[in-house]
Amino acid sequence: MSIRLRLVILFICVAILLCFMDMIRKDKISLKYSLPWLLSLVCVMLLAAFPGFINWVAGLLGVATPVNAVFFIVILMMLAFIFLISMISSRNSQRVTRLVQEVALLKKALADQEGKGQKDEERICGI
Amino acid sequence: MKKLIIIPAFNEEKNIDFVMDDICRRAPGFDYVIINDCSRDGMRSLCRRRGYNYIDLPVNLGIGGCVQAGYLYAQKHDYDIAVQFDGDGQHDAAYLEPMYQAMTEQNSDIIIGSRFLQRQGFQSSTMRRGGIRFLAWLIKVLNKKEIKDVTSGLRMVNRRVIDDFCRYYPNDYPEPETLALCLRKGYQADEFPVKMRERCEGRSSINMPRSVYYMIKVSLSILIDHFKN
Repeated sequence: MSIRLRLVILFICVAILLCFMDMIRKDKISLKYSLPWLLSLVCVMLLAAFPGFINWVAGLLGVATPVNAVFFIVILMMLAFIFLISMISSRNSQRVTRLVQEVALLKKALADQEGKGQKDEERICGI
Repeated sequence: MKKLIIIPAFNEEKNIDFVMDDICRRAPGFDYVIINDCSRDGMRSLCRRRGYNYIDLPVNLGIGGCVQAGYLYAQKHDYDIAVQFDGDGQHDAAYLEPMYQAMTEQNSDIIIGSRFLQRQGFQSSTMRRGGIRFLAWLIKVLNKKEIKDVTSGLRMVNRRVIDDFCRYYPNDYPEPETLALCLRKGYQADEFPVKMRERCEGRSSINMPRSVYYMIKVSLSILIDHFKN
């Protein structure tokens, strides 16, 4: 990795890190969900700061150009994040569904209570 | 025995009066509840004006969440039997009482109104029948029980199945998967021959470009269900 690329990576990482810190400070993202981001940012920064390590990893993986090993690792990280988000999103949609159903049932119970007596004779068959 | 008809309805303003009339006249032994899945037409004001017994979902959930709300209502109000009944006029309320009789006689946990037992009434297109036959075959192979009309939305279940459906109900295209679920849990599933009408107003939610997605998604969900416990 050229010194210029290392500087660019470091600079971008620091910028993103600052951005994240600001978001956390303003409660726009929870610390829980930003922790993996912060960790991976630090990892990438370490890789850029100490290229010896990435050269060693590239040799291990059989990647000819060390910088490609960086890209490879970063892509893997991104896939992991996207997978995590899919999981969180599935869980949230299940929760929202149940909440909507509960709200609907509560609204129904409330309406039934309010309309008791006066509506009973109007109701068409059934309940 | 308390019996509830669950009517999922999305934009069925033009059909719901017909359906309600049918139910009131020909299934008097049943209570009913309409689940309005956040319709964009005048469903809600119509239900209120007519004094129908309805539940209003504040957010559109799709067919699965909508029907499940009905099962939750059935569970909450302690119903012994719940039957799903389409809000578009496809189903005939005259079959509900005989279905219930058959259910008690055969001791079924779930009984499905089937179009293909007597091959009468609206039979749907050749393509779609082929798809249904494949899904039926898949369910038969995995669960050792042949049900012909696995996509029928007309299904009557008892308390045990209501409780299970309240716990888990898939969101889109739920019929074949929930049937596989019932068979996996060892519930007795039976079919009852019915005639269905062609829907009066509005289109089916499944059209040609979606049918490929439908087949893949439903086949997968049946397969995955087999590995749940």
